[in-house]
Amino acid sequence: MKTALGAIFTMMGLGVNAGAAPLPVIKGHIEFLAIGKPSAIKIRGKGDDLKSEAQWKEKQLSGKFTFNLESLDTGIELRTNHMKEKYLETGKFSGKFKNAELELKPVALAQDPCKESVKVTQAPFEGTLNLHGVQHPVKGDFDATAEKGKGHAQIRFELNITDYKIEIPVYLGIKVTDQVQNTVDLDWVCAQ
Amino acid sequence: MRSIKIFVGFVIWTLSSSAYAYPEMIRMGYVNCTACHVAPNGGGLLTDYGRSISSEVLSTWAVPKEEQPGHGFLPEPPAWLKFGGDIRLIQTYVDNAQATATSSFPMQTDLDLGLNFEKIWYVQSFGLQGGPSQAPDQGKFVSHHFYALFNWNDEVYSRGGKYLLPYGLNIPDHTSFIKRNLGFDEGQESYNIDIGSNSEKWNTFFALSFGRKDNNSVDLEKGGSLQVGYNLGDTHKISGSFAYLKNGNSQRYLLGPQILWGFNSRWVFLGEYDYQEKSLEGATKVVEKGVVTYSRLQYEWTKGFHSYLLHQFSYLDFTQLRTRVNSSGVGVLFYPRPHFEFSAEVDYSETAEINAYNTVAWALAHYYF
Repeated sequence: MKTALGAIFTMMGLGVNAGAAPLPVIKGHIEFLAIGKPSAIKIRGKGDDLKSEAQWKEKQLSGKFTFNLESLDTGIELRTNHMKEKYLETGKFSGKFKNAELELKPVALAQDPCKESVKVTQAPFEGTLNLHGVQHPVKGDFDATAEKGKGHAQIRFELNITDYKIEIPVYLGIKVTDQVQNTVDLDWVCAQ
Repeated sequence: MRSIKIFVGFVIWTLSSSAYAYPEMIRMGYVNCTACHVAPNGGGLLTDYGRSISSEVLSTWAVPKEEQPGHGFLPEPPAWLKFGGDIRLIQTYVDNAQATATSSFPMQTDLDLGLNFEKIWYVQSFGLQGGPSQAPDQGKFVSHHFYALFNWNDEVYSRGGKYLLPYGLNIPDHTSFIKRNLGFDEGQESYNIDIGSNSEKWNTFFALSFGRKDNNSVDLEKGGSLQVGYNLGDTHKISGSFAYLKNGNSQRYLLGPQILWGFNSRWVFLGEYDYQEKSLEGATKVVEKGVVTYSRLQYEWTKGFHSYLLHQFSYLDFTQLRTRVNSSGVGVLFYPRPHFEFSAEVDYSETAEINAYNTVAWALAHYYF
């Protein structure tokens, strides 16, 4: 499976040679889903301010995705403000908690998706998520497709917000569950 | 002439209601009613979160705390006490081959009181019977609903009291065919117990109705109902309802699907399609088989302002063409600020065989607190 994940990042235009190459993500999107109880309210937060620092080197991928939490929007202004100010605390401590960083463990590469068609589904990955000033390991899975040097990947993982010393959000009788599902969508174009 | 007046008066009188729920909020991801309402199947007393949503999601404009019962000017009640209410005024217009009439009157004056202790709720409404001056009991004290509710956990509840038997879409327009023609109109609240669950995926309600033994003049049916719904994603719900009800000389069962489909945050479709089979006991047994449908497509033009297209069809006895009524309408809804709702609707209906055409229009001002 690590081979499959490696394939994804190879698809991202990094080549198969030993030289390091940046991951040319042209569009990134993050979405989380939290459930509020009672009544099972589905709270979705969405944001697009995602930077990729992943690279391919010596047939292994190492990478880090940095997401600006300030770009998150839940669709309701008051809720969004509560989330950022009270729970994620993005504006406090000189912006120390402003970003979330996902660092992936290096994975092997099996093929060159910049030159071949690739389809990977539900392949596992491991990494570390730095959120709210706390680092914690994460596991998840991903899908990826690529053809003619262009591709798309969707990475999915769950986290428990208490692992990151984030208070469980409670608002007017609605309490959010600890577990939050996260999805990262990436579009890339391989370097010619 | 007297019968015409009675008919027009009846049409106007039936334009009154007591319960308010907004299933179209599914388009914003609210698949279960309990986020905003104390009642498990929606309507009536708002939760604190529901008040917040009336400001944050429903209304065009709002300032902080405006959604509070005192508009933010009065102290907030203690956590164990909730209250709210509805005052609604209506202007109606009815036009048909026999007469044209207009009327305006207070349709609803209700205060809802809720007491909450941990997992237990007690909710009671106090109000005056609405309607035009000639309506039965107009102006008299009435309690449309009261119930005790126990929430076993975040999902499962049981309840007992007086309220409308849960069945189908819980829409505010009780004059719609799926309410009035199927016996779920205002004034038909019965003594019930029900148990149910509102989970992330599934909703289930099972209710038993004991009629209205406290009031012999209201010969309500006894029986039960079952409703099972499944939430598809964030903004779609498919439900099915079944009810079996009987009184002195008749029994009936009805069943059908309901669809709540939010295409996005602006477009939403509500549909209910019921089949009813009713047996009337007498010298000879008569069986009436029929259908009633409701289809509504709604669009939010800007926050708080909506319009919709509505189609209703009722054919309660396939052997009697005159029971076939086809109705189409358009309506607008405007929620300018928390506590205020303005709506208007025009419907044109046609009854088969007797070729009776009817245009009903109404404009409603609603203050909720």
